[in-house]
Amino acid sequence: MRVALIGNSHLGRIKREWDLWCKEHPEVKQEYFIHRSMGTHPLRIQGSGAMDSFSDICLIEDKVLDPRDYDAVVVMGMSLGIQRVFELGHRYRRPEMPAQGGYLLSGATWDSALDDIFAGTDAVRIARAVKMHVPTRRVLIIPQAHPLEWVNTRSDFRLRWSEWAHAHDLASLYARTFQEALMRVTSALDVETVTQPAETIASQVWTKAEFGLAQADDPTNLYWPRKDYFHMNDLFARTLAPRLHQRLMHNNDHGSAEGSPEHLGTMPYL
Amino acid sequence: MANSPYRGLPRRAFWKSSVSRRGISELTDLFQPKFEITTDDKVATAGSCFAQHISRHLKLHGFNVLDAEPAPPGTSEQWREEHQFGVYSARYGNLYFTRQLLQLLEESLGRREPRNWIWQKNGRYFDALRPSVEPDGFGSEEEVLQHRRQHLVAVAQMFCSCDIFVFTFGLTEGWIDNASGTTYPTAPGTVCGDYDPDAVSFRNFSYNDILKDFEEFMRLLKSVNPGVKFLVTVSPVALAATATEDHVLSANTYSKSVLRAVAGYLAAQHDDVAYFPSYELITGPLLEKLRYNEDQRTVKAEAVEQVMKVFLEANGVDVESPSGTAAAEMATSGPDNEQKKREAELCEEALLEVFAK
Repeated sequence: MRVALIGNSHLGRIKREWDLWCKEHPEVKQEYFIHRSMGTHPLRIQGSGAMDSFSDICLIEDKVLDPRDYDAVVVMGMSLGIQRVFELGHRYRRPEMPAQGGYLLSGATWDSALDDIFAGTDAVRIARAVKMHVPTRRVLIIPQAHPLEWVNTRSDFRLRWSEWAHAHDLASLYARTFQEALMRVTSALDVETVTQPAETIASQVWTKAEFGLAQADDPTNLYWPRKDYFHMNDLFARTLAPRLHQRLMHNNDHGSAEGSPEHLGTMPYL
Repeated sequence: MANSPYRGLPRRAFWKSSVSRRGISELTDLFQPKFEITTDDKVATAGSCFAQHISRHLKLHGFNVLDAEPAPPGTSEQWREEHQFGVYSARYGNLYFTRQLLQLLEESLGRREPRNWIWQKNGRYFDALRPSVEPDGFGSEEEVLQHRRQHLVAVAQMFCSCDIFVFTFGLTEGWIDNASGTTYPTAPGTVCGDYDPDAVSFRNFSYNDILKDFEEFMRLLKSVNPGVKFLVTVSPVALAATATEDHVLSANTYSKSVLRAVAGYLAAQHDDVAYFPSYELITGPLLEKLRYNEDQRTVKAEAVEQVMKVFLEANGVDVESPSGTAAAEMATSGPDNEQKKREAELCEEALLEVFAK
């Protein structure tokens, strides 16, 4: 099976561990298209139609993704994740959220805003382009991992969205709205999702500290060792890899347990 | 040659020398601003559908258009417009007639309390004073009340902080709650609610009504924001429907004539009121077939660009400069020319078409 993996730093961080893992599973041949801030070559997707070029998604290498060359295309991170829910909820509230919590929107408008934000993420833009070029190609989206759990105890971040959500007991609401919006957006594109492994999750919307790259108690107080709440480590990569492998090798009919509406609300994170 | 009061008048006073066989780009002296609007000025915009174009083009060219109720970051331009974010300086929707504007200012300053303004549709609750802002309504009256309270706080801040208030007069025809005098932007039953002739009445506001309302609006706004100046325009977008017994074409001409007369009088009487002639630029002969879309009611995007070019150049913006054209290109790029699609005004009034037999 040939798989194209497209992503940003969240994919770049776990690439090494996945390469090791894939050596033990030679049935999977992966090729990476990783956005780098210092990249100079726009991501280009060429299938049956005119080439799509993403000037804001830059690769180090000059190469074109042709979905026809792969059995599946996997998009990881690329700004799609529950953090978008935290950010929306911090400044805009649904009627059931605390009254002091920002600008009130109706529930329908709040959901619609989240759908629109998700639809505009790089992950969904890429998935949409791949599907447009080759409608039958399998596309799997792996959202960015949830923020590390210690971020909700910290008030030294510019945006206190996590602390706010924790203080007001919004985890269940955020988890539900995230799953629902993800379902609406991906099902509209006939795209699958590979959600975060349950064993990595803390309190529904955060990631357990042991899966994080940074350490909350790092004494240096530098950004990357102490304040990076969203990049995961090798342990996370090793936990996620078999889940993705399982999904890839499963002859998916686009009606998987993760993707079916009846699992909303009770849907376990794989 | 005999003496005449027309002798020695500038070319702009004569149709043949300033309008006949000329293009809009040659009308360099049509609009002479009474006061300068700079990018440092805080500009608030409101009014009828056409005001959306003014607001959008001012923003595109770097003017400081206030946004008292900003959209969630990351949402698309289309979503924002559908939910009335950034269309005007706050989410009040279209203020088609002057009584609405006065009512909004009074309400935001705590001097008026509208009545019978929460309407229902399919079990959902709507703010009848801006029914399109939340397209699916709210789950309860309390939610609508909260939503309006936060809106009024934002509107009051906007009124008190703006340097320039831009208003486009749109309609003379409006709907009023009989018991309280509360005015509605749309008749009940158009977007939401249900029409009860015993509760709500049609009113075709007269020249005197509109002039009095706008001067009262000016007086009240200056009481909290003494330095504010006013730029007024008249919407060239025709009535979608009339509730008078006249033909809609006649009703439209009457309505626009009254509004144009009020705007002209305000500009002539008040040093701090300027009139921008977007109405005559669109409806006059200069743009010919460029003016209206196929519905012969809404204005073509190309015509809007031409009109706004006159406005911007009069205010010192070089729209042909690289920065000016870059902004315009940003607005019109893309295979589907999304911006041009969005030039179609967000207009509840157009919903009246569905009631045509």
